[in-house]
Amino acid sequence: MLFVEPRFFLFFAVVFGLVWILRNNLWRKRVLTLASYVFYGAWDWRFLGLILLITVISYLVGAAASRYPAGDRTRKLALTAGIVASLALLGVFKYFNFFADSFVDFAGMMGFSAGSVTLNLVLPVGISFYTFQAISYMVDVHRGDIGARRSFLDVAFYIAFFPQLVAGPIVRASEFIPQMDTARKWADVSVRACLTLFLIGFIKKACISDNIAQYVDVIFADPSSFAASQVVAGVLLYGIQIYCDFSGYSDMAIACAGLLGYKFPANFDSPYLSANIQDFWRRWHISLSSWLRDYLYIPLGGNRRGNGRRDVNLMTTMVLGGLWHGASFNFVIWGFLHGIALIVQRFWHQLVARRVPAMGLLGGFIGGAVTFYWVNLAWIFFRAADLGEALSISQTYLTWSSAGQNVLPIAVWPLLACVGLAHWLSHRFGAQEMIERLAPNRFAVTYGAIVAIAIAFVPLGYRPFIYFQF
Amino acid sequence: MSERGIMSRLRVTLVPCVIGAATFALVASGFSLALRRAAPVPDMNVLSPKLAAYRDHAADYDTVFIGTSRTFYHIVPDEVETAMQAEGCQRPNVFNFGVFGLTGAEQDWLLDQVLAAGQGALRTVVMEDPLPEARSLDDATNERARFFHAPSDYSATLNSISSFPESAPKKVFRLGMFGAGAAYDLSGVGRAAEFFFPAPVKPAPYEMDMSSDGFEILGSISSPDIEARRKDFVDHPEKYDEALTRYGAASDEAVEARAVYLETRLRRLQAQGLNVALFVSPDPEELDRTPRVGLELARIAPDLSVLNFNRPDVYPDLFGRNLWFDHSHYGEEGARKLSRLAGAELCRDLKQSDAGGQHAVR
Repeated sequence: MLFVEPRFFLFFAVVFGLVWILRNNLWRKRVLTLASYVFYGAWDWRFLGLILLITVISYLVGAAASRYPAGDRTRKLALTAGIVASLALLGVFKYFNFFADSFVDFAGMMGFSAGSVTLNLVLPVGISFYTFQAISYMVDVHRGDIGARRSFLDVAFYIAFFPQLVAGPIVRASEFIPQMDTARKWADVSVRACLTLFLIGFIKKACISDNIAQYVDVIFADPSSFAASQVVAGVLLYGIQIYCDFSGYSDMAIACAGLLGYKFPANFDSPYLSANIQDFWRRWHISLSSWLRDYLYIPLGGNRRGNGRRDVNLMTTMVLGGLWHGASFNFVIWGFLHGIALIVQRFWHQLVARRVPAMGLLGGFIGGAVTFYWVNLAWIFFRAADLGEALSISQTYLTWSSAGQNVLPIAVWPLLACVGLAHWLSHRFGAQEMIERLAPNRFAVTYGAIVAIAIAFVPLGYRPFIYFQF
Repeated sequence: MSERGIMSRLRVTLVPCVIGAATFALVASGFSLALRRAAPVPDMNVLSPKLAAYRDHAADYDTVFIGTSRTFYHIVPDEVETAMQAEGCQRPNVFNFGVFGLTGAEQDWLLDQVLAAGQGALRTVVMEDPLPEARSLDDATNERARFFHAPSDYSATLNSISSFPESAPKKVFRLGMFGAGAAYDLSGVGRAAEFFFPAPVKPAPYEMDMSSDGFEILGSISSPDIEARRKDFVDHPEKYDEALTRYGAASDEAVEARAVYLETRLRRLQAQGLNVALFVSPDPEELDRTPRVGLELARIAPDLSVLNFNRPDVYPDLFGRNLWFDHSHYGEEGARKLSRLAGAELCRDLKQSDAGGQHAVR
């Protein structure tokens, strides 16, 4: 069930109506938890058992934390066991085949013969997201940031809440759980802001990402048959596709939660307008990057143990962040490329930037262009089906040479320019705020007209969100 | 809260909703209609290759059969031509314009295309009673249905629905489906996407062998649907016997309106100087309806040719179970047998009408 499908609108209308008709907070939570399981079960009801199991683990770790004082060994043991169990489930479903195949290949390279032990497992949608949310609950309770919930329903609701269940944002327990203690008030819901954000997300996903996906698909399927300018454009199109797809989902998720009275943190902040790679990671998939910072990079030591150790921590975090996206060396390389960029930027900052005069706007522009170019180079590894294909496209991307002659049936560079300009204008002038500040009747006219035009740009056919696979 | 307070709050909520919905309807339909004008005719399997073939060779054909899959799989042009010649008519050149699931609005459009392309050569149009309108939501919202839900088709569709001999609840259902189809079309979903973001790889257009002038032997090209229908026919002989008992059964569904509807369409063609005939194909599943429509038309318009073959008592040879491929379509033998009869009867009728006209026989 996708946010852009008619059946979701029907589902949401029913849930929305029920939630606001009910006055009792407990009943609202029950309805929302049940609705979330229905939402998740619409993909595959068999995975409901998995999400329930992770919820039980989280609840038990929380219960242990409330029973034993801080610093107690049993409390630490319970947390470790809970995290290991959650990651083990994630590992079995997501990474077992990858590591088993890699081991067999490695053994073969060493001259040993090892039989294949690949499991025929279907990847449960959104498993990486709700596993991280579960870990967030366990760690936040252990650290004392929030109290353990006595009610199993609360933990189940936090982990399964449907707007963020399958593709984030990864909402921290310490941010979300306090919100469920009191009944949300309709008066606190900014309806126009939520509707506008949902519409913006819808346009990003259905009107931009889904339309350009077809061109990205053909170029990545047979890059050698396309002219170099088309391959490079295809890579940039993928950059736009994944941004619009994922940030569009996040916008819609935040808007849906907002309409139900709950606040999610922002997940994107015009990342392609970043001046450098560090800035990019403050603005791209913010909930994941901050999660990795707080639950991985800082526990590893962060920048507290010298520059060398910091770089190792940085690279470890980025590579594991890459692996979080999927069980493939391509994702590892994607993380590695970002790790390299972050380390190079640190060197640049320490060795060069401090000794030359600031270049102001021009410096920001050059930094932004280099960042954008590098980020898109890394996307090639994220998107390509295998390493060979990624290397072939990277070569064309870096050298602008290809023997292919094919061109896409659209003026791809003007399209890229239009999308880029629209993005910059919307960021510069705050299109979202402009719309939501309109008086109710003007808002209605504007909203109706934009929806009407947006619907005409929705391509027919089913295209799931890219991040569902993670 | 006081009653006044509730009303005020309702107004504050509802007025923007109504304004938003009205704006949406206006902008979406305007945008959709503008894009519709720019959009090409979609590729409609069977219909598109037949129309293209007919347009290419319109000067060669003087007789066209237009109808549903029962025309497509039942009318063998060669057999019709031979039979007409044997009956004393000049050998015509027949084109089979049978199309799966042809409805009223579609038949109107197709007739317009045929008349435009066949000017000069076309002498005779044999028309089958079109099928009822959309039978499911998918029937109302697929690409072909969308093309035929243009505002200019509304009147033809409503005429077809109102005249079709079926119960009031069914008519209401069809109106609902028509409304859904029209709303879907006017919403413009996907229209701008198709226009501004053309597919990088266009699907290959549907192709068919036109060496038999539009006829195809059912089963010669298989599909899961065709196989399933065949299997059901083979596995359930009792259904066929059951269907035959429906012939002559009392029915509450009035056929008069449908006869008038068909007469109007035939007269419109006749007014253009064409010979016309209604073709009622054998179809066990329609034994309680189509024969009565044919008889009613013959009653109210005795001068019109009605080839009413769906009558087991008059044409027992056409109802041997071995002739049928599935519950409502012939195999090759049945098609050839029916085509010979159709050719002979058409020639006889044309010769009769030729006593007063000049178009029947060249």
